[in-house]
Amino acid sequence: MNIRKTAIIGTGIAMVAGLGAASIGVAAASPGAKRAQATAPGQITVINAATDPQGAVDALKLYENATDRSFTPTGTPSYSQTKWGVVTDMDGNPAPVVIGNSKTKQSVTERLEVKHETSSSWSLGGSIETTMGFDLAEVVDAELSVKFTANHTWESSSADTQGIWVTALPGKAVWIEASTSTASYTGNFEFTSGGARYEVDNVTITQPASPTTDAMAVTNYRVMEANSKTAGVPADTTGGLTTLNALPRLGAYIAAGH
Amino acid sequence: MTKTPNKAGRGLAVKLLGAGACGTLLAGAGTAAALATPAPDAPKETAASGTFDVDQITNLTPYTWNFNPTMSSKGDLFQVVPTQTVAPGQTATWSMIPAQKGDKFLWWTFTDDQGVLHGVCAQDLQDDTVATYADDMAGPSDSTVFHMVGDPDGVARHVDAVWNTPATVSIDASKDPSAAAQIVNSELPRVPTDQISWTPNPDATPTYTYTDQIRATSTVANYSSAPATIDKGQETTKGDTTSLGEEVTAEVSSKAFGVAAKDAASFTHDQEWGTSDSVSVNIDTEIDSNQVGWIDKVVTTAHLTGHLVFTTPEGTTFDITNVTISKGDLINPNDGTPSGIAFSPDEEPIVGPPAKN
Repeated sequence: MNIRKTAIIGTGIAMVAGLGAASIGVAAASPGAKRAQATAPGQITVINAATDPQGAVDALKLYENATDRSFTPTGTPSYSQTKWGVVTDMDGNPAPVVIGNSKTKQSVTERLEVKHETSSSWSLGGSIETTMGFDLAEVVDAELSVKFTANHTWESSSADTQGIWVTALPGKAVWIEASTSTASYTGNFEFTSGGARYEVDNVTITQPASPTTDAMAVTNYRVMEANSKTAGVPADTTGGLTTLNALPRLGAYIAAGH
Repeated sequence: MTKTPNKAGRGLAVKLLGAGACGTLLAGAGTAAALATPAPDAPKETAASGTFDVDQITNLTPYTWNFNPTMSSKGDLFQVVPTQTVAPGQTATWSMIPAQKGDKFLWWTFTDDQGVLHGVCAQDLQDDTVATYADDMAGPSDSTVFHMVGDPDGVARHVDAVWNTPATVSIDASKDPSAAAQIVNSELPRVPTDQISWTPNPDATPTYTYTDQIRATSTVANYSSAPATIDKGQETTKGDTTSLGEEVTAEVSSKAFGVAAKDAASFTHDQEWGTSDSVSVNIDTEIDSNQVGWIDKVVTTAHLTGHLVFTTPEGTTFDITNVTISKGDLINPNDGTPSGIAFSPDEEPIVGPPAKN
């Protein structure tokens, strides 16, 4: 007999923003902010994000409510794949490990539900979203999808879900790892706020994306397995779902590359 | 030659200045050749960051202007380079280095639908004002078809170039999709919805296309001893677009589709073109040990061709023919269950051991 349990992990699609070559954190105030606020009708403020990331962030805070705004990519996206790692939720907590019941010889099955959440946060310490008050990548995403991946315009889906069912046989511990395709693109923002014109150049946005698939398919998963002994599970375990943190030996095994 | 109201009396003096001065006759074969040449002398920006006073000219003519480096003054003149392409409704912006002001000229040129070349000229003056001119290049004096006037926003150095009479501009989107896209992107956002219409071509019938098979889910590589399963549920609330060119903005596409969908629905009674429908589908597939599995999809898309007409607040009417609206995901070409998406499972053996974390 198999036992089925469901674990729903809000594995959101994290969006990352960087300005210039480096990712950024944000302070409360900066010379850039003072400059941005001082810009008057009939003036334009030009900010090179590569050399003035703080000023760029402060100016981009105005973007959400700006008019006549545009983001013009200055190149094509570059795609890369993140390293494999244990699936985590938005708070960084690893998905449960499913363990077979050695005592009763039962299998245990888990369902990992992955939700596509476009409103998910920036991932670098949450610094940008927290400070800016909105998700910059999401704001420009509609435009980017038209310019970069036209097929995405067909996928205005509001409630995509996918789930992965995994089964641990008796004596086995099973967990799920993920690797995500990301796209980075650099471009220039232009917008009008308070009658003043702003141009923020060399802004790089990195977010989960793939050149050939829609948003739900950008993350690849793999179902991994170890013997209970390797995982540090007691020989007479009754199995079920447990946290990876409760299995330090398995954690070390995964960290060492299996 | 027409001047901005805030710079009265400058026009005649300007006309006597160098070869690039406003009002100089540059029409003819030589000019045409020069305009077609790439611009190695395109203006460069001298400052990467900073806040600068700008000059602005808003294009309220029916035509797209191109900055003309051949006719414009040369050198490193700008803190912010002039806008190179200015579509109707857009604003050209630039900031000249103060020490360069006085005898330098900027030119944008455009050709109307009668083949007549026109020019928009600007001269930054040392008293921090700007003189601007509307020029019919073949004529000796001011343009007879458009004029310059201060923008109603009252911002210093913000001038409008206004077409003298209401005009209709026709563009065949199938022949010049780039021009159609540019016009629609720049104009449609500020056009009231009741000034937009889309009419199917008289002989038009919906056509259907099918995407290539693409992956709809993540891949799942199963390194465990027991089978795994991947399932997918998709609830789609809309999946529409309007084909006007390669890079129509999402805002424009959505706005145009909203208008067109109503007309399309009345035209093809058995076809749902609305944007508020939803459909929910679920599928799952089992993945054996040492296999990698996923779910593919093929999306059906419906297309209908017509022409888009809208009138700007300035009275210019754009009639864009061969505009195709398309709708994916929810369309139903065979009167069956409306889905528009066909899912299919796929699986193949895992090659090699798992990559290290």
